[in-house]
Amino acid sequence: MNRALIIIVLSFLAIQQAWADIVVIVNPANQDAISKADVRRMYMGKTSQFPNGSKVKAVNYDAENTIRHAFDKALLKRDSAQIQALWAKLVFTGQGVPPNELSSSQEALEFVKANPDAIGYVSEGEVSADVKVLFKL
Amino acid sequence: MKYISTCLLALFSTASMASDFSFSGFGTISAVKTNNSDVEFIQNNRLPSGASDDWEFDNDTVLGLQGQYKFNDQWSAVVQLLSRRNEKNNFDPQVDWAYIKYNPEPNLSFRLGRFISPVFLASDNRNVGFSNIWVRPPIDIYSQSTINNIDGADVTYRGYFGDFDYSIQAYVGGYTLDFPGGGDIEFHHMAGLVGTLSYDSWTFRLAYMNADHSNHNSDGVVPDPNIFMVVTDDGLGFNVTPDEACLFAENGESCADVITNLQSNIDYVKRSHRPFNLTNAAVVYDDGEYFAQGEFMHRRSASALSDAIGAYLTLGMRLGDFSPYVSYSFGKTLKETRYFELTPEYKAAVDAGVIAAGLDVANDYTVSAFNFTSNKQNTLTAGVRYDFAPNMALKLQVDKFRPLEHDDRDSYGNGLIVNGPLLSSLDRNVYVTTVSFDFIF
Repeated sequence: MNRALIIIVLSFLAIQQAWADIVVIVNPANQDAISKADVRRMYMGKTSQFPNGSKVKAVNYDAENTIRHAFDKALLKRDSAQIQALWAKLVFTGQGVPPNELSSSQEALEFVKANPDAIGYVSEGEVSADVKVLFKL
Repeated sequence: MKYISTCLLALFSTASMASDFSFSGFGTISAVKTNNSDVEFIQNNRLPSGASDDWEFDNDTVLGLQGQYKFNDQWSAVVQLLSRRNEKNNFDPQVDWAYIKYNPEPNLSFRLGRFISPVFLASDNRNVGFSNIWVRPPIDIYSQSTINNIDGADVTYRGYFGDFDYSIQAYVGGYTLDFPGGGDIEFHHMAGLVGTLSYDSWTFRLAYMNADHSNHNSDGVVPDPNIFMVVTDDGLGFNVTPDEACLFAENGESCADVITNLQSNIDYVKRSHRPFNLTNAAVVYDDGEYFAQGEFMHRRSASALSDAIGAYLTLGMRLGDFSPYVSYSFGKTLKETRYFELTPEYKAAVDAGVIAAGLDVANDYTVSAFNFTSNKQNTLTAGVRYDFAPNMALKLQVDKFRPLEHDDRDSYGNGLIVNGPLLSSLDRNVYVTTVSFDFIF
């Protein structure tokens, strides 16, 4: 009984941890002032450019990925299922193309490092010196 | 079939050549039944037949395939093929979207080709079940205008100030919608404006379309209507045809001679180049947990197709992967009254004729209500959406359609969606149960 309780508490903490942990990253060359609202717009298909007008190359994770669920909940205030439905609407009405879906944070780091216009997110512990942290969720 | 395979082949061969090509699709498989063997439920009025009290799978079932090609940051093209049961009762795929898009800057886009006329909030994505909470948009509104495509051009600008996001879209074009039995409605011109404003959990949308329409029969012509003139206070009267002899008139006088505005009444009723103006207002609230969505629409069609209004309100919430919702909607035509103007001699002759028959003369001689379409119904809906996988959803929805009497025409209340016996006089609701499976890929 106690053990079960401890596991529940621990897994709750782990979830909390995953939520608090996400950092939004851009290429170090990107000097633009980018707010949380800007990033929300990018991941909900409301804009395809940075505040300075340059084109955004946003990357995301595939829909099964737990970090994506945490990101959707923390920044977009939606379940991933809702975000999927939103993008289905945008795609099939020609209003946008969703961010590229990658399968690991390693790929996200590589992509952001290689593309000056990229934006992505990873767990805070995985950040490398090759990318710039915008903010923590 | 040959057509679609050629298209697909073209799409796939392009795909293999370039990474800027993306291919995606969506679909719905639905099972629908009613509680009444005499009634056929149709989800839109272009379906030649509907679901009765056995499960039927061809009401909402649809498959869409989309290819999108990006030439560069400014230019892109989209082709979407849609297969759903059509007015010819087959599933032959149709080109639902096909346009070239030009983005001179990221917030500004121009499109040329075929797209959807965005007359209502969910017009654009009405076929993409996965993107909607319901199994289908509320038909009390969406069947008041079965408009789907437009061949034309549009421009969209989107931007934001502070925490407000907005977009403005303007479009022009035309389209011909085919109906079962060979007739069609031709929209000679369609021109519209759509404005959307969103803030936090709120979205507001206003849309207006100005259009002209003609309703051709299967021979491709708009027939002259048989106009009925009501002359007694209990609704009796007779047909009035311009070049034919008119009841109670002197020998040799045609109806056109004695009814001075007969032609203008015929021109009004006859659906040839008549208006089809739609006004739509929508509000959406969605905070991630609770959502509410409402729409109101008004159709100005000033012809045998009466003006109409409709509205709905949907409320729902999200409980993990389940989203229960309830909805109320109604749709009704607005009563048209058109008057006849008679020469004094003819008016006196008809009055005398009516009195001689022992009847009471009507205060005004009017165009019969039967020269105008009439429908009225409301709907209560309850359902639940289950997001059981990232790209798939299951829905269960029950609708209670209530066809109502309208304009004292109690034997003509059939509602918007039901083929079958005249329902309002039976005072009977129609329950429609739908199970649907929606997916995207």
